[in-house]
Amino acid sequence: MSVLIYLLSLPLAVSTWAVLLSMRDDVPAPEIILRLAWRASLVTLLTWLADGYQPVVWALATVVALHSASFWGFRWLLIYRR
Amino acid sequence: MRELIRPLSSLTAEDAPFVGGKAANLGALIRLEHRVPEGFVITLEGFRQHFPADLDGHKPTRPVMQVESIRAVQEALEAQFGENRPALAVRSSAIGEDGMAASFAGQHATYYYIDEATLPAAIVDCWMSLWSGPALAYRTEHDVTTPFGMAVIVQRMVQASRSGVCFSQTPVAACTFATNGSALIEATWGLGAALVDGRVTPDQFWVDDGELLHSRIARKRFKVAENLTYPTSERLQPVPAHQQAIACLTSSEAVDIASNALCIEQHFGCPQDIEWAYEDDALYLLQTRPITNQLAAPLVPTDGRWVLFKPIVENFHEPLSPMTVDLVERVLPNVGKFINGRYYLDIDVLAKAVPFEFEIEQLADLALFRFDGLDAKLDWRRLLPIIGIMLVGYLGVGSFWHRTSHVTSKALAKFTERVDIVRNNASVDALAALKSLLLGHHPWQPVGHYMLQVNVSAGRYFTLIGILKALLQRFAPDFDISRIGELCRSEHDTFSQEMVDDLQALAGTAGQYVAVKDAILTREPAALATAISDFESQHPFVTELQEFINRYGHRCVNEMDLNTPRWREDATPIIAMLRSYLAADGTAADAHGLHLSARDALHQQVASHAKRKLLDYLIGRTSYYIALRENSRHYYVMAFDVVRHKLKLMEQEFIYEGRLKCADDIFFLHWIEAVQLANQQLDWLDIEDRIRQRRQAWQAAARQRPPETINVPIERGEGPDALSGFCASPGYAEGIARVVLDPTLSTDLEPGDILIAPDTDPGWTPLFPTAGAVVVGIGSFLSHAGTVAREYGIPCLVDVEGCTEKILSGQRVRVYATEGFVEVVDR
Repeated sequence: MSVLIYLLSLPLAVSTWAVLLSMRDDVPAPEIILRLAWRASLVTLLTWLADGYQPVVWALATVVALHSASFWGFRWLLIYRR
Repeated sequence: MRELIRPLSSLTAEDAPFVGGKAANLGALIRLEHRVPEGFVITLEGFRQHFPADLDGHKPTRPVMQVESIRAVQEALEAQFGENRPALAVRSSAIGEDGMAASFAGQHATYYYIDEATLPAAIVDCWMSLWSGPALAYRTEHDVTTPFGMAVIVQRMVQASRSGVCFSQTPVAACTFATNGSALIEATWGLGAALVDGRVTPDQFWVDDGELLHSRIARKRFKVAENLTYPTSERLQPVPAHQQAIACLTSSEAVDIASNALCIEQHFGCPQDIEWAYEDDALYLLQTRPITNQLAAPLVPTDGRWVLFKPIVENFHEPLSPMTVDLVERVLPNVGKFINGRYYLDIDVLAKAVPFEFEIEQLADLALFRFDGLDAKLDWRRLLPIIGIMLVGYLGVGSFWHRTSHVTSKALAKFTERVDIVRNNASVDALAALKSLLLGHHPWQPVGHYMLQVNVSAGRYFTLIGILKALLQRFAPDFDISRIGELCRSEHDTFSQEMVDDLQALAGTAGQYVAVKDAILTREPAALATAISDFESQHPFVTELQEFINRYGHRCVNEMDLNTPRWREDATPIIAMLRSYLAADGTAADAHGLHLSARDALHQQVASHAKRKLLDYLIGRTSYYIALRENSRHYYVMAFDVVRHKLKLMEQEFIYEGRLKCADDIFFLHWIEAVQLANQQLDWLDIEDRIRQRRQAWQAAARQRPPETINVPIERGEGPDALSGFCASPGYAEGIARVVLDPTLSTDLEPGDILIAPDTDPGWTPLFPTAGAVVVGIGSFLSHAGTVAREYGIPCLVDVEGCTEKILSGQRVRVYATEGFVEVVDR
């Protein structure tokens, strides 16, 4: 069950991470709050289904790690390979 | 012993083994009563006296010219010119040079404006150029076995106001549908050395049967001036602004040169490559030789299979300069490469990246964005790993996709802050600036700092349009699918649209002041751009112009090439566009009205409310991403502006310290060479030949339409469908064709004319409101030309291969954009 919740949480994590980053994109605060609130309710649902917050947190951690790794990895590949 | 010196007028073809092919040909020209600068030749005997040993490829010690030889040369000067010694030209005439097998064009030395005192040294330098690196390489490449030996021509220096070359028959490499069989003349201001060295893009004139068929006027920014001194220190000088964009030959002069060429061709019995110059109004012929491979096709790789990648290639019609290629390749993924200044995709990499079993031709069509008729079987084995990679990719960079789905204009504008920081930071060099601005700095910056990624993310409208087309065919089968462009006309503001609005406002301001309007309409744009200070600095027009430049000054035509001056540096294109507006005094079609009418027509055909809502949503999203793509380009081009700025600063330093001789040479270096120049690990002598060769290669590539594929056996016919293309904006128009290769040179586009262009980037946008329709050589429904044409509601046909060559200015044409073809009414 945890694995399934983890997998279901991954797209939600991508979307949530995007909302968190978009706080730097001049998106109005009420809109950010609305978007976060909607995702928070989904997180609550998934946490309840998994009977714990770990799968959801791990999904977010995976996305943040992959985002950073792909950014730096791609940059490194382009910059240092020549 | 044979004679040491012979007058040119005494030479015949039989003398070639003793005076070289070039001198013998000049003798023939004199006998044919063509005007040739007076002079004489120091025969092979002179060479043998100074290089007595049997010589092979090993460079001998530089000799000093013998006293007897100097005396003989002085006597020849006395006999030829008397007391009034003119400036002299010293030219090689090597044994075997200018023959049928090998021309040695540009391989041996030529010296201009030599005086009597420096003449002996110039003659010896000319001999020594037999062993120059390029000449030895040429001998090896062409398997030349003739012995080393060179005669030297000494002639009066022609004070050339204009000069160039004439091919008595257009060489195959420059041959087009419209110009097949005609003579081709290339001309530039000043001495022809600028042209031969590839320093300038020349004007081109095609003449057939005593009639000027076609001409292309280039912007000639430099010339080799008339006051050169030896050694060649400051060869290149800027051409005055008012002369840059005007033809340097009249049509009668072009016809005269061509008829001379034809006469010479008949004498020699084969097509000739002739160098000519005008001194005042007198035409001089400087040399003639058989056409060998001077305009040969640029080299292409023999390994790998390559296909032009349209999303990149459609942004520029001339090849990118070597520096641009070198820098841009460092920020592009390793899935393709630049070949002769154009970007090609590795077709084998593409084959692995798509989950379909495509034939090689279909893969090529995919890269060229020709989706019609693309039908292939899904390859499940390939699909699964691709889906896996896409999922991981989504987890990694999917946040970009979400962030760009509702990005605000204010967030996009943040890129300008980053640009200013990088521009003003002197410790950031050109390469670091490009990487920083195009690749981002760290993963949690504002989305406005990742403008290239925003541009790529906006490309999802490819998919949206595909879905929209499929749904339209399902929900509204009677709806005219070619009106999809009108449906997707952007409801969002685009910089392209705003730029035209601002230009129209600027033209309106200019029109309010008689002096300003007259100046724009009567003076050459280039001259006016440099003399804009004639108006008071507080003049409303000047203030408004400055505001326009502040906003759009980083843009220009061919803006992807670092070697192109931006509008901030040269406002000529803006003045030329204002001139078109003032002359046209027309208004664009009501594009928004067309959009509403298309949407109403669609709504009438779709009865279901839910389906209408779905279609409206898709249309809204598509137009949003189209606008996002246009606007993100406005920003990321700023990165190229900053890189150019930093390269120009480097160049100024190099020129000041003598490590570079001419403006713009830096764009023909590679980045590592520029760094080595800065670190004094290289100097001018190390790079002079490289720059010349790269300029010549660039000119050769610019003359040619790039092949769509390399090492891929695809045959595409040029039959009756040769003037067909893809509809980017529907409609029909008939009018006079205006072939425009550089919008900054076009001032004769009149309202209703059909604009025929090789490609269009935003620098072309201001011509659109005047045009009745647009036909573009390369592009797709999604390219800039289509996007802007839909904004203005004018028909636009893209991907009409070779349209700028097959259609001539002045011909009447009919554009059936909806049906996808152009018809030339009168040929």
